[in-house]
Parts: sequence; structure tokens; C-alpha cells
Amino acid sequence: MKCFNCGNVLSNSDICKTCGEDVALYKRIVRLSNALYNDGLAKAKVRDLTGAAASLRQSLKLNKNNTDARNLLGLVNYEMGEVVPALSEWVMSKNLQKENNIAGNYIKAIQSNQNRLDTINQTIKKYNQALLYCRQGNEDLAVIQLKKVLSLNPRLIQGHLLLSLLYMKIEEYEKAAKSLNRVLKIDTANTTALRYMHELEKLRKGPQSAAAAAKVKENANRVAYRSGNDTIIQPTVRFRENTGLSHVINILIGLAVGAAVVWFLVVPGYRQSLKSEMNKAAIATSEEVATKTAEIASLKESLATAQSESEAAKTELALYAGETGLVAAYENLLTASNAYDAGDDVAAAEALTKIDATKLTGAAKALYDSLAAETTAKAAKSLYASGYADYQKGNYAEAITKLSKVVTMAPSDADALYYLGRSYQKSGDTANANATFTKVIELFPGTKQANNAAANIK
Amino acid sequence: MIDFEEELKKFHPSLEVEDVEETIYNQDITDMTDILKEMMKELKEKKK
Repeated sequence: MKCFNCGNVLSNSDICKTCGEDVALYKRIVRLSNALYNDGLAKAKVRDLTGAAASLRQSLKLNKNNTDARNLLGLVNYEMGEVVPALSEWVMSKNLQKENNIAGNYIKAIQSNQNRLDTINQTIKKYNQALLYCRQGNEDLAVIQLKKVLSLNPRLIQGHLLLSLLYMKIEEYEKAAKSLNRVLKIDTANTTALRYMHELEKLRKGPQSAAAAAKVKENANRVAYRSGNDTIIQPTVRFRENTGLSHVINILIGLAVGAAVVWFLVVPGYRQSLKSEMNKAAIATSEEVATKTAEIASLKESLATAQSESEAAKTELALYAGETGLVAAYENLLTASNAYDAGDDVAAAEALTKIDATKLTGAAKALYDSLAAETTAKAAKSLYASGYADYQKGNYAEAITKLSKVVTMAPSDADALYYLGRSYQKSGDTANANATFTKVIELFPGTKQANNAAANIK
Repeated sequence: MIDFEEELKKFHPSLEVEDVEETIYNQDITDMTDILKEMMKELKEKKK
């Protein structure tokens, strides 16, 4: 503690040792100032800003050089949204104590953010404008203006208090309560806020509350603001107050609109592109099918041609190949010729019977005819004698073989045919026997052999 | 019962940033110490 007169440090004595002034009262004043500062600090810690400000002002009234009290008062003012009073306290603090003063840091912090300072200045101007609207009776305009102010400077307690007062006037008690709660959050023991809150409780419980609620509903549907020289009145939507719900609803509406846009704009285009792709694929497939069909038709035609050629070749081959073919005929002719040369008329005749004479032409036909003339009759006679002998001996199998050859060589030999039938009959082959007898009757009617055959048919 | 008009009178315009200088200049920061000094001075003069 320094002497108020000479500025030297004081001792425990009530007299200044330097200038001799009675400093007892001075010391008491300083101690009281410090006590009030401590009280203000304690209140500030529990957010009783109104109480803290009052204590700190008292402290400064006792001792203006109480730098701590002045700096703290500046902080309290700043916290209550009163930036200019805060700034002025810090500037005075800095002037009174230039060295080791935290006020310099506070001033620097504010000045460094010029944009923020400009914004706060604008909010103060708008708050003053709102106050003017209130005094002029334009509560609606005042409400709009104050909402703007508080959105930019939410700690402006005076703004909240004025807004709550306006809400109470227009009987929007819920909104008034909201504003007052915000004040009490910043300044827990704000006397004005507590008084308004008390009054609000009374109003809410009052008999007029039902009518007030109806009026609130009516007034909530409109809002007016000034734009230049015009006053614009617009209907409001209540649910805007409930930002969470409005966000959810907006999101749902956005999703629905997005889904509708996709369904009506995107999906048809996609379907169209799919269709065109499918059409292209179908066309390509059709073309391929047509090509393949043409190929198949061509191949079928080729196949038919090849088949007919094959048939023709087979026919021609059949002419030459096989037992009845020309090759076989020539072979048998050769066999017959060799057998005749060897004196075996029977073998020659047998070989000749295997030949289809109609297929022979030219020299082969002549040879055939010559051999047939020379050998057939003799062979038939010889074979008939042998076959008949076998029939009489009971060698029916041999008889059938030989007599069958005779029938082939000499078709006009009725006896051979008859005894062939008898051989079949004797050997138990009734079917062939009957067929042979029938043949005898057909080929040689009226003859002895025919009569005998008729008698033997069973 | 709150009287709107009466309450409104209690609200004063806030100081703007441009008013800081004027506010500081006009602020009366006379404290008890200053009053004590004055009183001590007057006492001395009276004694003389």
C-alpha cells in the first residue's frame, strides 16, 4: 500500500514515515475496497454478474486505483454483452496502472479482431434502434430487430431483457420465459430477469392465459419488418421455432423430391437406354438368325444334292456290286465258262443260273446264251436224275437242293417241280410243299403232275 | 403487475464503440481517497 499523499510505501503505522500524513482512514478505505473486490470476485465466480458489478463499482468508488477491481468489472461488463463499458474500464485501468496490467491484453484481444468489434458495434446500433421502435410503439419491428441483435451478440443481457418485456406485452409468455432463462444462464441473479420471471409465472397461471394463448396463436401467424421505406408483413410458420423438427421434415421433403426426380426423370431415361440396347441386341440376334437360316437352307440344299448324288452312286454301285451286280454276273459267267471248258456241265449251268441275263450285253450276253444253250439242258437232265434218285432213297434234303436247281435251269420241267414239292412234303415242310404244288397246278394245268399236286395239297 | 412503459424507461441506449473516448473522458473517477485528500487539505488550510 502506498501513501495517497507522497506515494511512498506505507508501514504498519497509521502515520506515513515519509510525509507524516495520517493514513489510518486511508488504509481502512483501501481495505474496504479490497473486501468489496473480493465479494465481487466471489459473485462473479458463481455468475452473479449483477451482484459482482455492484460490488466492484462500490470498490472502485472507494479506491479508483484498485486495478484488479476495475479489470474484473470490465470482464463482467464484457460477459453481459456490454463491450463498450468493458473497453472503457480497461482503458482507464491501463492509464492508471501502465505496468504489469492485464487490461492491456484484454484491449489487444478486442482490437485484434476488428471484424468482431464491427459486428458488436452494429448489434449495439440495432439494439438502440429496437429500443426506439419500442418507444414508438412498433413492438413487432422491435422484436425482429432484437432477434437479429441477439443472434449476433447472444450475451447482450439488456437485449434479452427488452425482448422478454416485449413478449410479455404481446402475451407470448413462452418466448418471454425463454429469453429470461437465457439471461439467467448468463447472470444467475439478474434482478430484472428474476422479477420478470416472477411476473410471468403469475401471468401464466392467470385466468387470461387461455385468451392470451389464443391471441398468441393469432399473432404468431404474422411478422412485419422494414425494408427501406416499405414495411413488409409476412405470415410465419410456427414450426420454424422447432429447428430440430423442421430439419428432419426438410430432409424428408428433400428425400421425397429427390426420389420423385429420380423416378420421373432418371428412371425413364435409363429404361429407354435399356430398351434401345435390347432392341439393338434383338436386331443383331435376328440378323444372325437370318444369316444362320440362310446358311442352313444352303447346307440343306447341298445335303440334298449330296444325298441324291449318293443315291445315284449307290444305285450305280448296286448295279455293279453285290450278288446281283454286274461284277458278280461277270464272275459267274467266267465260272460257267471255265466249268464248261472243264466238261462240268452241271457246274457251268449252276453258275449260269446265278446270272441275271438282263444285265449282260454284247459279248457277255452272247457267251451266256451260248453256254446256256450248251449246258443248261444237259445239266438239268443230269441234276433231275440225281435229285430223283435222292428222292427215292429218302435223301429229301439233297433232292430238294438238286431239284431246286433243275427248276431254275428248266422251268418247263413239270416233273422236277412236282417232285420238289413231294420232297418238301416228305421232309415235313408242308408250307413249301403246298406252295410248290400250287405252282405246279398254275404252270402246268390239266397235266398228270397238276392232278397229283392237287391230290397232295394239305 | 409489470407496467411496460415504466419498465421501458429503465432501458437506456447502449454505448457504441465511437462513444468510448467520450465516455472515458466524461467518467468521474473521483473516489473516497480523493475526497479524503480534499478533506485533509481543507483541514490543513483551516488550521493555518
